[in-house]
This record gives sequence, C-alpha cells and structure tokens, in this order.
Amino acid sequence: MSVIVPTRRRRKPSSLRYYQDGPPAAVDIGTWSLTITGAAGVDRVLSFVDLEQVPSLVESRRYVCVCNWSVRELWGGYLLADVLRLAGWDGSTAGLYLKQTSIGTPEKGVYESTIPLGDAIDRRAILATRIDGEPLPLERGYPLRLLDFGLYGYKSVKGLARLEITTSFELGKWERKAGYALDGQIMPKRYRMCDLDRHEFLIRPGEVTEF
Amino acid sequence: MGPFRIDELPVTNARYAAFVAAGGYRTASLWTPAGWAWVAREDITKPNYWDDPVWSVPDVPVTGVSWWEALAFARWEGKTLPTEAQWELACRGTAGNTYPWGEDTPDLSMANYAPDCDPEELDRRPTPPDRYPRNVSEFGVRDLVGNFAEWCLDNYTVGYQVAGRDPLYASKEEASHVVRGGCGLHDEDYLRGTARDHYPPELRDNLIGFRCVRPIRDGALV
Repeated sequence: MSVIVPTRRRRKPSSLRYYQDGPPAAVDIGTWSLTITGAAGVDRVLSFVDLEQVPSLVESRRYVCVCNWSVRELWGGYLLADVLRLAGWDGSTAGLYLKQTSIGTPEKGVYESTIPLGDAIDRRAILATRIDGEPLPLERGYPLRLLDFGLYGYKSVKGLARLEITTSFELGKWERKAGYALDGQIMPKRYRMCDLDRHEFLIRPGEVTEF
Repeated sequence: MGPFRIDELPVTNARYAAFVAAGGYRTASLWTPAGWAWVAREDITKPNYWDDPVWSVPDVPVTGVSWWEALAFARWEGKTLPTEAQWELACRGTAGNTYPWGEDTPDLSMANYAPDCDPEELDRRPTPPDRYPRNVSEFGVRDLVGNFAEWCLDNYTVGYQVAGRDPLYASKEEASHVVRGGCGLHDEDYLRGTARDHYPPELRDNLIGFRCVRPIRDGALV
C-alpha cells in the first residue's frame, strides 16, 4: 500500500508540538541508537544507518489526536515488522505487546507507551523518519517515531530509544497520570480534519481511511 | 424537563479546595463504589494540576478532576452533575440558540478556545469564568463554552435518543461519560450548545472541569 494523497493543510495544530517528555535539546544522529529487546527473539541495537538495511516507504496516512483533530500527511520511514525482523523477531504476536520508550530529557524523564504487537503489525505500523518529504522535526519525534494509525497519537512515542516485546500490557506513567485509556483506540466522535478544513464524524473505531 | 438549579459558574479551585480540606478524598460515602475503588487504587488525594501554578489559580475553574471526583464533590455540596439535557438547556436557552450568546459566530473575544484547534500559545492558560462577558446564556449561566469542557452525568452513546421527562443515558459507570462545551484546546465547533464529546471517567487532563445541579421537586430543592 503506497497511495499518495496531496495534503491541503492550512495550519498545523499546535498540539502537534506537544511533547510530554521533551523534546530533547538535540539528538546526535551519529550516536543515537534504537535498542530492540525482549521476547520473540529480538535482541539488537540499531544505529540510524542500520535502519537503511530495511526497505523504505512513503505512505499517506491519517493521524488522529485525542484532542479531537486529525491530519493526513506523507510519512516516510520503515515498516515496524521489517525493523523487528532485522532485530531477530520470530514473527510471533500471540499475547505479546510492544513497549516504546523515548529518549526523554533530564528534566522530564522518558515517555512510555505499550501497544498490542499483533494489532500494530496488522495495521502496518511504521517507524517514521520523515514527514512530508522532510526529516522529522525534533518536536515531532526526530529521529524516529513509531506510528500505529489505528490509535490516538499518545500511543505513538516520539524520539524513540527503545522497543521491548513484552507480555505486559500496562499504562505508561503519563497515560496513568492523565487518565487516558490503555488501548488508545480512536473513538467515534467528531473531529476537525485540519488538512480538509472541515469536520467529520468518525463512526468506526480504528484507522481512518475514508478521508 | 423538570426544573433544576444549575451553578452560575463552574466549580473553581477555591471552591474545590474546601472539599479537599474537609476530607472529601477520605470520605467513602461521597463516592460511588467504583469511584472509591479507583481513588484508593490510584492513591489520589487532590486534582491532577493542584500543585501547578498555572492551573491552580483560586478563581479559575478546577481541572484535572475525573468524573468520579466531580461527582463526589457535587454530592458533598448536596448536588449532582448535570445531565446532557440539563446542560444543553442551560446553554441554549428556551430559544435553542447555537451558542450561549445566540447566533453570532465565535471569536476570541467571546470564549477561551482554539480556532482551528490551534491555541494562540502552546502554553495555554485557564481564564476566570467572568473573563468573557458575552459567554453567558439566557439563564445567566456563565462560562459554559470554552475554557474547560464540563462533565455530565450521562454515559456517551452515538446519537442521542433518550426520551422521557428527565432523560439520562446511564449504561456503565466505568464507560465513557459525556462532556459538553469544549475547552481551550478545542475549536469553535465544540462551542456549539449541541456539540458532544466524551472521555473515560478516569480522565484527569487539563481539558475538563464541571459544575453542579440540584433538581427541584414540588417547588423545593431536593
């Protein structure tokens, strides 16, 4: 799947910039790494250059914020499944979850969120490095952000440092403090489609493909 | 709909402080069993932003309170939370206005909201309930839209088809509950008196506040 839909966004919602644990002041891409560990055979530390062993993609996907807005953008990066395979993943998903941890900052610590692994694979979750043809800005998750487009944005960690395949499905610290749902599923309600400059009522939970 | 009294203003931090000081978080009788279990499990003793100088200003609405905390406070005052229907009537008035002030298109002189979901400042702030003189309904109820969405008693259901004299949709306490009015992070669409939103009862983000109601039966408050 790689259908490109031009975006017609006029303004970017400020909450695109919300970053509970950061953003970091800077990220040295030469020393940054993604640790992939836990169950199902994964055990690897990948540099940014290592990721280039995986086929890259560019996909038009709709992001939905729990704050009732949505935007379709061109996301560039890698399929989560491909990167996990590079780290030794045996392909199993039953009873498994994926815990994401950010780089974080000394002041605010790290941000953590866990998602069902099988659902993320089925929904073609991606590890994004680019947005609308440009490298991810720091405030949007540079150098790498996981995106599961069937879930609200707070389930997709910015500035990723670590992925752990686990049998535990638990709230991250911020999710628990703010009271957001563990599953983070996009709920039926009315959203502002910022790129389309109109509102739509989403009836079905899950990834939005009709707009 | 039966008559009711609704708070002129949302519950402020100063008003909520009395509940905290009086031991509201330690008084099981004020809470539903599910709410009491939740507050004990999470070891909650105050609102989420109680120690944040931006959100804890005494004369601004309290936020960072779950549906359960809001209901416990209302019970402490001998009240309850408004139903969706009560909230909407208080907002739209007998004429069925689009906004509390009537039909004029919202602008930033009328309410604390985020045009196009884009707050003027990323570090947005709450505002006192009297900050926007036009944000008052026919009944004199202030600050109904913008600033903070407000918890309602009802659970959420897609579409609204609840009938009866005093309609209330109650499915499961732990399911999502309705909020009305939009907040400083929501756009002008949520300022409409008919706009509906919903969140899980545990939600303690700085999007939601509340006000209370007290029904009147046979000419007397109940």
